[in-house]
Amino acid sequence: VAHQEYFTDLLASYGMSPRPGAFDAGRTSYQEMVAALAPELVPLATGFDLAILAHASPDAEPGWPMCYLADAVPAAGLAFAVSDQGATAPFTALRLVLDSAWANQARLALVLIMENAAVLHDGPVREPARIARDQAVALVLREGADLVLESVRQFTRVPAQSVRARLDDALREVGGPLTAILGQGLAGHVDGQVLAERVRWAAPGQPGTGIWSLLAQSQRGAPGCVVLGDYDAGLQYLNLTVFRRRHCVETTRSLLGGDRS
Amino acid sequence: VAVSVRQAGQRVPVEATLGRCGLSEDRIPIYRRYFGLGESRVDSGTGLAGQMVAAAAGLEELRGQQHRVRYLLHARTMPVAAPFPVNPLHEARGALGLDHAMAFSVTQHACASGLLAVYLAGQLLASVPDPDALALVLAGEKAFTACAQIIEDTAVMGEDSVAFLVGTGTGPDQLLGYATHTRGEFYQAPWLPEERNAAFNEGYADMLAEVILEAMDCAGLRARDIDLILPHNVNRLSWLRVLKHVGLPERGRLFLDNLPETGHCFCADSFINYLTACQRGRLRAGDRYLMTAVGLGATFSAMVFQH
Repeated sequence: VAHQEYFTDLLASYGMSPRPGAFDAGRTSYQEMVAALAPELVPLATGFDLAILAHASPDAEPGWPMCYLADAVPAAGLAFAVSDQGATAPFTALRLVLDSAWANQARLALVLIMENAAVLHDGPVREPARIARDQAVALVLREGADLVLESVRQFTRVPAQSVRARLDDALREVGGPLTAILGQGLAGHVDGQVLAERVRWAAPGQPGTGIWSLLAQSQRGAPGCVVLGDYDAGLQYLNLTVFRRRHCVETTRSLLGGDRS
Repeated sequence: VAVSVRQAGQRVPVEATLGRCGLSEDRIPIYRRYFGLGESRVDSGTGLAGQMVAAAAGLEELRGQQHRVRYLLHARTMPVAAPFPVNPLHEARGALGLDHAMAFSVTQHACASGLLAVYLAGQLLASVPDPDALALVLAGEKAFTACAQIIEDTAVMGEDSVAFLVGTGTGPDQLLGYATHTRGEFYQAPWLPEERNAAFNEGYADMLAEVILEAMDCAGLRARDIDLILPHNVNRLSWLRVLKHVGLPERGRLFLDNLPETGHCFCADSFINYLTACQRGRLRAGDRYLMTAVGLGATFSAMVFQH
Protein backbone atom coordinates (compact mmCIF):
# COMPACT_ATOMS: atom_id res chain seq x y z
CA VAL A 1 0.00 0.00 0.00
CA ALA A 2 2.81 2.37 0.87
CA HIS A 3 4.43 1.73 -2.49
CA GLN A 4 1.15 2.34 -4.33
CA GLU A 5 0.78 5.64 -2.52
CA TYR A 6 4.37 6.52 -3.42
CA PHE A 7 3.88 5.89 -7.14
CA THR A 8 0.42 7.44 -7.24
CA ASP A 9 1.76 10.63 -5.65
CA LEU A 10 4.81 10.60 -7.93
CA LEU A 11 2.65 10.33 -11.05
CA ALA A 12 0.32 13.04 -9.75
CA SER A 13 3.29 15.39 -9.31
CA TYR A 14 3.89 15.00 -13.06
CA GLY A 15 0.22 15.45 -13.91
CA MET A 16 -0.27 11.73 -14.55
CA SER A 17 -2.18 8.92 -12.92
CA PRO A 18 -1.74 5.15 -12.71
CA ARG A 19 -3.30 3.24 -15.58
CA PRO A 20 -6.17 0.96 -14.54
CA GLY A 21 -4.81 -2.20 -12.94
CA ALA A 22 -1.28 -0.82 -12.84
CA PHE A 23 -0.58 -2.28 -9.42
CA ASP A 24 -2.23 -5.64 -10.08
CA ALA A 25 0.35 -6.85 -12.59
CA GLY A 26 3.46 -8.60 -11.33
CA ARG A 27 6.54 -6.44 -11.07
CA THR A 28 10.12 -7.41 -10.34
CA SER A 29 11.93 -4.94 -8.13
CA TYR A 30 15.69 -4.48 -8.32
CA GLN A 31 15.93 -5.76 -4.78
CA GLU A 32 14.32 -9.00 -5.92
CA MET A 33 16.81 -9.18 -8.78
CA VAL A 34 19.71 -8.67 -6.35
CA ALA A 35 18.21 -11.39 -4.15
CA ALA A 36 18.12 -13.76 -7.13
CA LEU A 37 21.75 -13.01 -8.01
CA ALA A 38 23.13 -12.95 -4.48
CA PRO A 39 23.69 -16.72 -4.08
CA GLU A 40 25.94 -16.63 -7.14
CA LEU A 41 27.74 -13.51 -5.94
CA VAL A 42 28.48 -14.60 -2.38
CA PRO A 43 31.15 -17.20 -3.34
CA LEU A 44 32.82 -14.59 -5.56
CA ALA A 45 32.82 -11.90 -2.91
CA THR A 46 36.16 -12.20 -1.22
CA GLY A 47 35.37 -8.53 -0.84
CA PHE A 48 34.13 -6.27 -3.61
CA ASP A 49 35.91 -2.93 -3.63
CA LEU A 50 33.08 -1.35 -5.55
CA ALA A 51 29.53 -2.40 -6.46
CA ILE A 52 27.50 -0.29 -8.87
CA LEU A 53 23.95 -0.76 -10.04
CA ALA A 54 23.33 0.76 -13.47
CA HIS A 55 19.76 1.03 -14.66
CA ALA A 56 17.90 2.78 -17.44
CA SER A 57 14.37 2.17 -16.18
CA PRO A 58 13.43 3.13 -12.64
CA ASP A 59 12.92 0.51 -9.97
CA ALA A 60 9.52 -1.18 -9.81
CA GLU A 61 9.41 -0.50 -6.05
CA PRO A 62 10.87 2.48 -4.18
CA GLY A 63 13.56 0.53 -2.36
CA TRP A 64 17.27 0.30 -1.65
CA PRO A 65 18.57 -2.68 -3.63
CA MET A 66 22.20 -1.71 -3.09
CA CYS A 67 21.65 -1.48 0.66
CA TYR A 68 20.05 -4.89 0.42
CA LEU A 69 23.17 -6.06 -1.45
CA ALA A 70 25.28 -4.83 1.44
CA ASP A 71 23.18 -7.02 3.70
CA ALA A 72 23.02 -10.07 1.43
CA VAL A 73 26.62 -10.20 0.19
CA PRO A 74 29.45 -9.92 2.70
CA ALA A 75 31.90 -7.10 1.98
CA ALA A 76 29.95 -5.56 -0.90
CA GLY A 77 32.26 -2.53 -0.79
CA LEU A 78 31.24 0.97 -1.81
CA ALA A 79 27.76 0.24 -3.20
CA PHE A 80 25.58 2.75 -5.05
CA ALA A 81 23.67 3.27 -8.30
CA VAL A 82 23.88 5.40 -11.43
CA SER A 83 20.81 6.12 -13.52
CA ASP A 84 18.77 8.62 -15.54
CA GLN A 85 20.89 8.40 -18.66
CA GLY A 86 19.24 5.52 -20.51
CA ALA A 87 21.43 2.75 -21.89
CA THR A 88 24.51 4.86 -21.11
CA ALA A 89 24.39 4.04 -17.39
CA PRO A 90 26.29 0.70 -17.58
CA PHE A 91 29.08 2.39 -19.53
CA THR A 92 29.28 5.10 -16.86
CA ALA A 93 29.46 2.39 -14.20
CA LEU A 94 32.39 0.81 -16.03
CA ARG A 95 34.07 4.19 -16.36
CA LEU A 96 33.74 4.59 -12.61
CA VAL A 97 35.32 1.16 -12.15
CA LEU A 98 38.28 2.27 -14.27
CA ASP A 99 38.62 5.76 -12.83
CA SER A 100 37.72 5.06 -9.23
CA ALA A 101 38.32 1.43 -8.34
CA TRP A 102 41.13 0.35 -10.65
CA ALA A 103 42.94 3.67 -10.23
CA ASN A 104 42.94 3.03 -6.48
CA GLN A 105 44.37 -0.48 -6.71
CA ALA A 106 41.04 -2.23 -6.30
CA ARG A 107 40.95 -5.89 -7.26
CA LEU A 108 37.32 -6.86 -7.51
CA ALA A 109 34.35 -4.84 -8.70
CA LEU A 110 30.72 -5.67 -9.36
CA VAL A 111 28.51 -3.97 -11.92
CA LEU A 112 24.84 -4.91 -11.83
CA ILE A 113 22.81 -3.93 -14.87
CA MET A 114 19.05 -4.12 -14.46
CA GLU A 115 15.87 -3.17 -16.23
CA ASN A 116 12.23 -3.88 -15.71
CA ALA A 117 9.24 -3.61 -17.99
CA ALA A 118 6.87 -2.10 -15.44
CA VAL A 119 5.29 1.13 -16.67
CA LEU A 120 2.55 2.30 -14.35
CA HIS A 121 1.04 4.97 -16.59
CA ASP A 122 -0.44 5.19 -20.08
CA GLY A 123 2.11 7.68 -21.37
CA PRO A 124 4.27 6.80 -24.36
CA VAL A 125 7.50 4.81 -24.13
CA ARG A 126 9.03 4.82 -27.58
CA GLU A 127 11.52 2.42 -29.16
CA PRO A 128 14.28 1.66 -28.46
CA ALA A 129 13.64 2.57 -24.79
CA ARG A 130 10.68 0.17 -24.49
CA ILE A 131 11.54 -2.81 -22.30
CA ALA A 132 10.08 -6.21 -23.14
CA ARG A 133 10.92 -8.15 -20.01
CA ASP A 134 12.61 -7.85 -16.62
CA GLN A 135 16.27 -8.78 -16.81
CA ALA A 136 19.46 -8.43 -14.77
CA VAL A 137 23.12 -8.98 -15.65
CA ALA A 138 25.98 -9.12 -13.17
CA LEU A 139 29.49 -8.28 -14.35
CA VAL A 140 32.22 -9.35 -11.95
CA LEU A 141 35.44 -7.54 -12.81
CA ARG A 142 38.42 -9.22 -11.28
CA GLU A 143 42.11 -8.57 -11.47
CA GLY A 144 43.71 -11.37 -13.46
CA ALA A 145 40.53 -12.37 -15.30
CA ASP A 146 40.87 -13.62 -18.86
CA LEU A 147 38.68 -10.85 -20.21
CA VAL A 148 39.97 -7.50 -18.97
CA LEU A 149 38.10 -4.20 -19.00
CA GLU A 150 40.45 -2.03 -21.02
CA SER A 151 38.69 1.21 -21.83
CA VAL A 152 35.42 3.10 -21.83
CA ARG A 153 34.81 5.85 -24.35
CA GLN A 154 31.81 8.10 -23.93
CA PHE A 155 30.97 10.75 -26.49
CA THR A 156 28.39 13.49 -26.01
CA ARG A 157 26.53 15.62 -28.57
CA VAL A 158 26.94 12.99 -31.28
CA PRO A 159 24.46 13.64 -34.09
CA ALA A 160 23.05 10.61 -35.87
CA GLN A 161 25.04 11.28 -39.04
CA SER A 162 28.34 11.04 -37.12
CA VAL A 163 27.66 7.77 -35.37
CA ARG A 164 28.97 5.48 -38.09
CA ALA A 165 32.27 7.31 -38.47
CA ARG A 166 32.85 7.46 -34.71
CA LEU A 167 32.16 3.75 -34.38
CA ASP A 168 34.48 2.86 -37.27
CA ASP A 169 37.28 4.99 -35.83
CA ALA A 170 36.92 3.36 -32.45
CA LEU A 171 36.94 -0.16 -33.88
CA ARG A 172 40.03 0.64 -35.98
CA GLU A 173 41.82 1.86 -32.88
CA VAL A 174 41.12 -1.36 -31.01
CA GLY A 175 42.72 -3.53 -33.69
CA GLY A 176 43.23 -7.28 -33.60
CA PRO A 177 40.49 -9.86 -33.98
CA LEU A 178 37.41 -8.53 -32.34
CA THR A 179 33.79 -9.19 -31.64
CA ALA A 180 31.44 -6.21 -31.72
CA ILE A 181 28.31 -6.39 -29.59
CA LEU A 182 25.95 -3.61 -30.56
CA GLY A 183 22.79 -2.27 -29.00
CA GLN A 184 19.57 -1.45 -30.77
CA GLY A 185 20.35 2.22 -30.36
CA LEU A 186 22.90 1.74 -33.15
CA ALA A 187 20.51 -0.09 -35.46
CA GLY A 188 19.70 2.15 -38.38
CA HIS A 189 22.91 4.11 -37.88
CA VAL A 190 25.25 1.24 -38.70
CA ASP A 191 24.06 -0.38 -41.88
CA GLY A 192 26.30 -2.63 -43.93
CA GLN A 193 29.75 -3.77 -42.92
CA VAL A 194 31.06 -3.33 -39.41
CA LEU A 195 34.82 -3.37 -38.77
CA ALA A 196 34.75 -6.55 -36.73
CA GLU A 197 35.22 -10.27 -37.34
CA ARG A 198 32.05 -11.04 -35.55
CA VAL A 199 29.08 -8.78 -34.95
CA ARG A 200 26.26 -9.53 -32.58
CA TRP A 201 23.20 -7.36 -32.15
CA ALA A 202 21.21 -7.19 -28.95
CA ALA A 203 17.60 -8.14 -29.50
CA PRO A 204 15.02 -5.34 -29.38
CA GLY A 205 13.26 -4.90 -26.07
CA GLN A 206 16.30 -5.00 -23.75
CA PRO A 207 17.86 -1.56 -24.19
CA GLY A 208 19.63 -1.61 -20.84
CA THR A 209 20.79 -5.20 -20.46
CA GLY A 210 20.76 -6.69 -23.98
CA ILE A 211 24.37 -6.17 -25.00
CA TRP A 212 25.65 -7.12 -21.56
CA SER A 213 23.89 -10.47 -21.60
CA LEU A 214 25.58 -11.14 -24.95
CA LEU A 215 28.93 -10.27 -23.36
CA ALA A 216 28.41 -13.10 -20.91
CA GLN A 217 28.02 -15.50 -23.85
CA SER A 218 30.99 -14.13 -25.78
CA GLN A 219 33.24 -14.80 -22.80
CA ARG A 220 33.24 -18.37 -23.94
CA GLY A 221 33.43 -17.40 -27.59
CA ALA A 222 36.02 -16.46 -30.15
CA PRO A 223 39.46 -15.16 -29.20
CA GLY A 224 40.29 -11.47 -29.39
CA CYS A 225 38.75 -8.34 -28.00
CA VAL A 226 35.13 -7.62 -27.39
CA VAL A 227 33.79 -4.14 -28.10
CA LEU A 228 30.37 -3.20 -26.80
CA GLY A 229 28.64 -0.15 -28.18
CA ASP A 230 25.34 1.66 -28.05
CA TYR A 231 23.89 4.99 -29.06
CA ASP A 232 21.14 7.08 -27.53
CA ALA A 233 19.69 9.24 -30.28
CA GLY A 234 17.56 11.29 -27.89
CA LEU A 235 20.37 12.21 -25.51
CA GLN A 236 23.05 12.00 -28.24
CA TYR A 237 25.36 9.77 -26.21
CA LEU A 238 27.60 7.28 -28.03
CA ASN A 239 29.26 4.74 -25.75
CA LEU A 240 31.92 2.15 -26.43
CA THR A 241 33.82 -0.14 -24.13
CA VAL A 242 36.59 -2.59 -24.86
CA PHE A 243 37.29 -5.86 -23.08
CA ARG A 244 40.60 -7.41 -24.10
CA ARG A 245 41.60 -11.00 -23.60
CA ARG A 246 44.84 -11.16 -21.69
CA HIS A 247 46.29 -13.66 -24.15
CA CYS A 248 44.83 -11.94 -27.16
CA VAL A 249 46.90 -12.78 -30.26
CA GLU A 250 47.16 -9.83 -32.57
CA THR A 251 46.22 -10.77 -36.12
CA THR A 252 45.32 -8.84 -39.19
CA ARG A 253 41.83 -7.43 -39.02
CA SER A 254 39.40 -8.31 -41.75
CA LEU A 255 36.08 -6.88 -42.67
CA LEU A 256 32.95 -8.85 -42.18
CA GLY A 257 29.34 -7.95 -42.58
CA GLY A 258 27.20 -7.37 -39.57
CA ASP A 259 25.08 -10.42 -39.03
CA ARG A 260 22.05 -9.93 -36.85
CA SER A 261 22.26 -13.19 -34.99
CA VAL B 1 34.77 25.47 -6.20
CA ALA B 2 31.48 27.31 -5.65
CA VAL B 3 28.04 26.72 -4.17
CA SER B 4 24.68 28.26 -4.99
CA VAL B 5 21.46 27.77 -3.03
CA ARG B 6 17.97 28.15 -4.40
CA GLN B 7 15.36 28.77 -1.73
CA ALA B 8 11.93 27.34 -2.40
CA GLY B 9 9.22 29.97 -2.28
CA GLN B 10 6.51 28.85 0.13
CA ARG B 11 7.13 28.56 3.87
CA VAL B 12 5.23 25.77 5.59
CA PRO B 13 5.14 25.48 9.41
CA VAL B 14 6.31 22.12 10.65
CA GLU B 15 2.92 21.56 12.31
CA ALA B 16 1.13 21.77 8.97
CA THR B 17 3.41 19.22 7.32
CA LEU B 18 3.24 16.80 10.24
CA GLY B 19 -0.55 17.12 10.47
CA ARG B 20 -0.97 16.47 6.75
CA CYS B 21 1.19 13.35 7.03
CA GLY B 22 -1.05 11.99 9.77
CA LEU B 23 1.24 12.35 12.77
CA SER B 24 -0.64 12.15 16.06
CA GLU B 25 -1.37 15.52 17.65
CA ASP B 26 0.51 14.76 20.84
CA ARG B 27 3.75 14.13 18.90
CA ILE B 28 3.64 17.29 16.80
CA PRO B 29 4.80 19.85 19.44
CA ILE B 30 7.92 17.78 20.12
CA TYR B 31 9.30 18.53 16.68
CA ARG B 32 9.49 22.27 17.32
CA ARG B 33 10.19 22.27 21.05
CA TYR B 34 12.80 19.51 21.28
CA PHE B 35 13.94 18.60 17.79
CA GLY B 36 14.56 22.22 16.80
CA LEU B 37 12.45 22.18 13.65
CA GLY B 38 10.33 25.21 12.73
CA GLU B 39 9.34 25.31 9.09
CA SER B 40 10.42 24.14 5.70
CA ARG B 41 10.10 25.64 2.24
CA VAL B 42 8.42 24.06 -0.74
CA ASP B 43 7.91 25.04 -4.36
CA SER B 44 4.59 23.64 -5.43
CA GLY B 45 4.72 25.40 -8.79
CA THR B 46 8.13 24.13 -9.85
CA GLY B 47 9.04 20.63 -10.97
CA LEU B 48 12.30 18.82 -10.35
CA ALA B 49 13.88 19.99 -13.61
CA GLY B 50 12.92 23.61 -12.91
CA GLN B 51 14.32 23.30 -9.41
CA MET B 52 17.66 22.05 -10.79
CA VAL B 53 17.84 24.81 -13.38
CA ALA B 54 17.04 27.48 -10.81
CA ALA B 55 19.75 26.22 -8.46
CA ALA B 56 22.38 26.21 -11.21
CA ALA B 57 21.23 29.55 -12.60
CA GLY B 58 22.26 31.18 -9.33
CA LEU B 59 25.80 29.90 -9.63
CA GLU B 60 27.72 32.95 -10.83
CA GLU B 61 30.95 30.97 -11.18
CA LEU B 62 29.25 28.84 -13.85
CA ARG B 63 28.50 31.76 -16.15
CA GLY B 64 30.81 31.72 -19.14
CA GLN B 65 32.40 28.53 -17.85
CA GLN B 66 29.81 26.05 -19.10
CA HIS B 67 32.30 24.67 -21.63
CA ARG B 68 34.49 23.42 -18.75
CA VAL B 69 31.73 21.24 -17.32
CA ARG B 70 32.41 17.60 -18.28
CA TYR B 71 30.00 15.96 -15.88
CA LEU B 72 26.59 16.90 -14.54
CA LEU B 73 25.53 14.83 -11.54
CA HIS B 74 22.26 14.84 -9.68
CA ALA B 75 22.74 13.59 -6.13
CA ARG B 76 19.41 11.94 -5.45
CA THR B 77 17.71 10.72 -2.30
CA MET B 78 14.44 9.30 -3.61
CA PRO B 79 14.68 5.82 -5.14
CA VAL B 80 12.31 6.79 -7.96
CA ALA B 81 11.91 10.49 -8.78
CA ALA B 82 10.16 10.55 -12.17
CA PRO B 83 7.85 8.29 -14.15
CA PHE B 84 9.75 6.45 -16.91
CA PRO B 85 10.84 7.74 -19.40
CA VAL B 86 10.55 11.33 -18.10
CA ASN B 87 14.08 12.58 -17.42
CA PRO B 88 14.26 15.84 -15.41
CA LEU B 89 18.06 15.74 -15.22
CA HIS B 90 18.45 15.83 -18.98
CA GLU B 91 15.75 18.47 -19.28
CA ALA B 92 17.89 20.56 -16.93
CA ARG B 93 21.04 19.69 -18.89
CA GLY B 94 19.47 21.12 -22.03
CA ALA B 95 18.10 24.21 -20.31
CA LEU B 96 21.49 24.96 -18.80
CA GLY B 97 23.32 24.71 -22.14
CA LEU B 98 25.30 21.71 -20.94
CA ASP B 99 24.54 19.22 -23.72
CA HIS B 100 28.26 18.58 -24.05
CA ALA B 101 28.36 17.21 -20.47
CA MET B 102 27.77 13.60 -19.49
CA ALA B 103 24.83 13.66 -17.07
CA PHE B 104 23.69 11.00 -14.64
CA SER B 105 22.08 10.57 -11.23
CA VAL B 106 23.88 9.12 -8.24
CA THR B 107 21.53 7.21 -5.98
CA GLN B 108 21.14 4.50 -3.35
CA HIS B 109 22.98 6.40 -0.62
CA ALA B 110 19.69 8.30 -0.17
CA CYS B 111 20.45 11.64 1.54
CA ALA B 112 24.15 10.72 1.70
CA SER B 113 24.33 10.68 -2.13
CA GLY B 114 25.50 14.32 -2.13
CA LEU B 115 28.82 13.51 -0.51
CA LEU B 116 29.14 10.44 -2.74
CA ALA B 117 28.62 12.68 -5.79
CA VAL B 118 31.48 14.95 -4.67
CA TYR B 119 33.74 11.91 -4.34
CA LEU B 120 32.73 10.40 -7.69
CA ALA B 121 33.04 13.73 -9.50
CA GLY B 122 36.60 14.02 -8.21
CA GLN B 123 37.42 10.48 -9.29
CA LEU B 124 36.05 11.07 -12.79
CA LEU B 125 37.78 14.41 -13.21
CA ALA B 126 41.10 12.99 -12.04
CA SER B 127 41.28 10.94 -15.24
CA VAL B 128 40.42 13.90 -17.49
CA PRO B 129 43.64 15.38 -18.97
CA ASP B 130 42.25 18.93 -18.82
CA PRO B 131 43.04 20.37 -15.34
CA ASP B 132 40.32 23.00 -15.82
CA ALA B 133 37.56 20.43 -16.27
CA LEU B 134 34.67 20.71 -13.83
CA ALA B 135 31.71 18.71 -12.61
CA LEU B 136 28.44 20.41 -11.73
CA VAL B 137 26.59 18.66 -8.94
CA LEU B 138 22.91 19.33 -8.23
CA ALA B 139 21.09 18.35 -5.05
CA GLY B 140 17.56 18.91 -3.82
CA GLU B 141 14.26 17.21 -4.60
CA LYS B 142 10.52 17.33 -4.56
CA ALA B 143 8.73 16.27 -1.36
CA PHE B 144 5.96 14.71 -3.43
CA THR B 145 4.65 12.07 -1.03
CA ALA B 146 4.31 11.51 2.71
CA CYS B 147 7.52 9.49 3.05
CA ALA B 148 9.33 12.34 1.27
CA GLN B 149 7.84 14.96 3.60
CA ILE B 150 8.74 13.66 7.04
CA ILE B 151 11.13 11.17 8.57
CA GLU B 152 9.44 10.30 11.82
CA ASP B 153 11.22 11.58 14.96
CA THR B 154 14.00 12.86 12.72
CA ALA B 155 13.12 15.59 10.25
CA VAL B 156 10.65 17.49 8.12
CA MET B 157 11.74 17.77 4.51
CA GLY B 158 12.16 20.95 2.48
CA GLU B 159 12.66 21.68 -1.20
CA ASP B 160 15.59 24.11 -1.10
CA SER B 161 18.19 22.97 -3.58
CA VAL B 162 21.85 23.56 -4.38
CA ALA B 163 24.25 23.54 -7.28
CA PHE B 164 27.98 23.37 -6.82
CA LEU B 165 31.08 22.95 -8.91
CA VAL B 166 33.78 20.37 -8.27
CA GLY B 167 37.26 20.60 -9.75
CA THR B 168 40.60 18.88 -9.21
CA GLY B 169 42.84 21.93 -9.06
CA THR B 170 43.30 24.40 -6.26
CA GLY B 171 40.11 26.06 -5.08
CA PRO B 172 38.61 27.70 -2.05
CA ASP B 173 37.86 24.35 -0.41
CA GLN B 174 40.01 21.25 -0.49
CA LEU B 175 38.67 17.75 0.18
CA LEU B 176 40.82 16.06 2.83
CA GLY B 177 38.96 12.86 3.67
CA TYR B 178 35.84 10.84 3.02
CA ALA B 179 34.32 7.83 4.72
CA THR B 180 31.07 6.05 4.07
CA HIS B 181 29.44 2.88 5.34
CA THR B 182 26.21 1.24 4.28
CA ARG B 183 24.51 -0.69 7.06
CA GLY B 184 22.56 -3.10 4.93
CA GLU B 185 20.54 -4.54 7.79
CA PHE B 186 18.38 -1.40 7.60
CA TYR B 187 17.61 -1.73 3.87
CA GLN B 188 13.83 -1.70 4.43
CA ALA B 189 13.73 1.93 5.61
CA PRO B 190 11.49 3.89 5.96
CA TRP B 191 9.30 0.80 6.33
CA LEU B 192 11.54 -0.95 8.87
CA PRO B 193 10.03 -3.58 11.14
CA GLU B 194 9.67 -2.21 14.67
CA GLU B 195 12.63 -4.11 16.10
CA ARG B 196 14.96 -3.01 13.32
CA ASN B 197 13.77 0.56 13.70
CA ALA B 198 14.59 0.43 17.40
CA ALA B 199 18.03 -0.99 16.62
CA PHE B 200 18.64 1.81 14.13
CA ASN B 201 17.68 4.48 16.64
CA GLU B 202 19.77 2.84 19.32
CA GLY B 203 22.87 2.56 17.14
CA TYR B 204 22.48 5.80 15.17
CA ALA B 205 24.88 7.95 17.19
CA ASP B 206 27.54 5.24 17.31
CA MET B 207 27.31 4.54 13.58
CA LEU B 208 27.51 8.20 12.65
CA ALA B 209 30.34 8.88 15.10
CA GLU B 210 32.27 5.94 13.67
CA VAL B 211 32.16 7.27 10.12
CA ILE B 212 33.01 10.80 11.30
CA LEU B 213 36.08 9.53 13.11
CA GLU B 214 37.09 7.52 10.05
CA ALA B 215 36.80 10.57 7.78
CA MET B 216 38.86 12.62 10.22
CA ASP B 217 41.43 9.84 10.36
CA CYS B 218 41.51 9.75 6.57
CA ALA B 219 42.21 13.50 6.65
CA GLY B 220 44.92 13.03 9.27
CA LEU B 221 42.94 15.05 11.80
CA ARG B 222 41.47 14.64 15.26
CA ALA B 223 38.23 15.97 16.67
CA ARG B 224 39.93 19.02 18.18
CA ASP B 225 41.18 19.98 14.68
CA ILE B 226 37.64 20.38 13.32
CA ASP B 227 36.54 24.01 13.41
CA LEU B 228 32.96 23.54 12.22
CA ILE B 229 30.50 20.75 11.51
CA LEU B 230 28.11 21.33 8.62
CA PRO B 231 25.55 18.63 9.33
CA HIS B 232 22.50 17.15 7.73
CA ASN B 233 19.55 19.01 9.25
CA VAL B 234 17.90 16.55 11.58
CA ASN B 235 16.63 16.40 15.15
CA ARG B 236 19.09 18.46 17.22
CA LEU B 237 18.86 16.08 20.18
CA SER B 238 20.40 13.33 18.07
CA TRP B 239 23.37 15.63 17.44
CA LEU B 240 24.14 15.98 21.11
CA ARG B 241 24.67 12.23 21.35
CA VAL B 242 26.82 12.20 18.24
CA LEU B 243 29.06 15.02 19.47
CA LYS B 244 29.64 13.17 22.71
CA HIS B 245 30.61 10.00 20.84
CA VAL B 246 33.00 11.90 18.59
CA GLY B 247 34.65 13.66 21.50
CA LEU B 248 33.49 17.10 20.42
CA PRO B 249 31.34 18.31 23.30
CA GLU B 250 31.47 21.96 22.18
CA ARG B 251 28.07 22.63 20.65
CA GLY B 252 29.37 25.90 19.20
CA ARG B 253 31.15 23.99 16.45
CA LEU B 254 27.92 22.45 15.24
CA PHE B 255 26.18 24.64 12.67
CA LEU B 256 22.44 24.15 13.10
CA ASP B 257 21.35 27.70 12.19
CA ASN B 258 19.32 26.52 9.19
CA LEU B 259 17.50 23.66 10.90
CA PRO B 260 14.46 25.74 12.02
CA GLU B 261 14.15 27.48 8.63
CA THR B 262 14.91 24.92 5.94
CA GLY B 263 14.18 21.54 7.46
CA HIS B 264 16.02 18.62 5.90
CA CYS B 265 16.56 19.24 2.18
CA PHE B 266 17.45 15.73 0.94
CA CYS B 267 21.11 15.72 -0.21
CA ALA B 268 21.50 19.49 -0.06
CA ASP B 269 21.76 20.23 3.69
CA SER B 270 25.51 20.39 4.24
CA PHE B 271 26.00 22.54 1.14
CA ILE B 272 23.22 24.94 2.16
CA ASN B 273 24.88 25.13 5.57
CA TYR B 274 28.25 25.74 3.95
CA LEU B 275 26.97 28.80 2.13
CA THR B 276 25.20 30.21 5.19
CA ALA B 277 28.30 29.61 7.32
CA CYS B 278 30.43 31.49 4.77
CA GLN B 279 27.92 34.36 4.65
CA ARG B 280 27.88 34.61 8.44
CA GLY B 281 31.67 34.53 8.78
CA ARG B 282 31.71 31.15 10.48
CA LEU B 283 34.31 29.75 8.10
CA ARG B 284 37.70 31.44 7.90
CA ALA B 285 40.64 30.68 5.65
CA GLY B 286 42.40 27.56 6.86
CA ASP B 287 39.45 26.23 8.85
CA ARG B 288 38.89 22.49 8.70
CA TYR B 289 35.24 21.53 8.53
CA LEU B 290 33.20 18.39 8.42
CA MET B 291 30.12 17.58 6.36
CA THR B 292 27.89 14.72 7.42
CA ALA B 293 24.98 12.86 5.89
CA VAL B 294 22.86 9.85 6.71
CA GLY B 295 20.71 8.16 4.12
CA LEU B 296 17.82 5.82 4.69
CA GLY B 297 18.77 2.29 3.90
CA ALA B 298 21.14 3.05 5.75
CA THR B 299 24.28 4.88 4.63
CA PHE B 300 26.40 6.97 7.00
CA SER B 301 28.89 9.37 5.42
CA ALA B 302 31.30 12.11 6.46
CA MET B 303 33.64 14.33 4.49
CA VAL B 304 36.39 16.64 5.75
CA PHE B 305 37.45 19.80 3.92
CA GLN B 306 39.79 22.71 4.46
CA HIS B 307 38.50 26.18 3.62
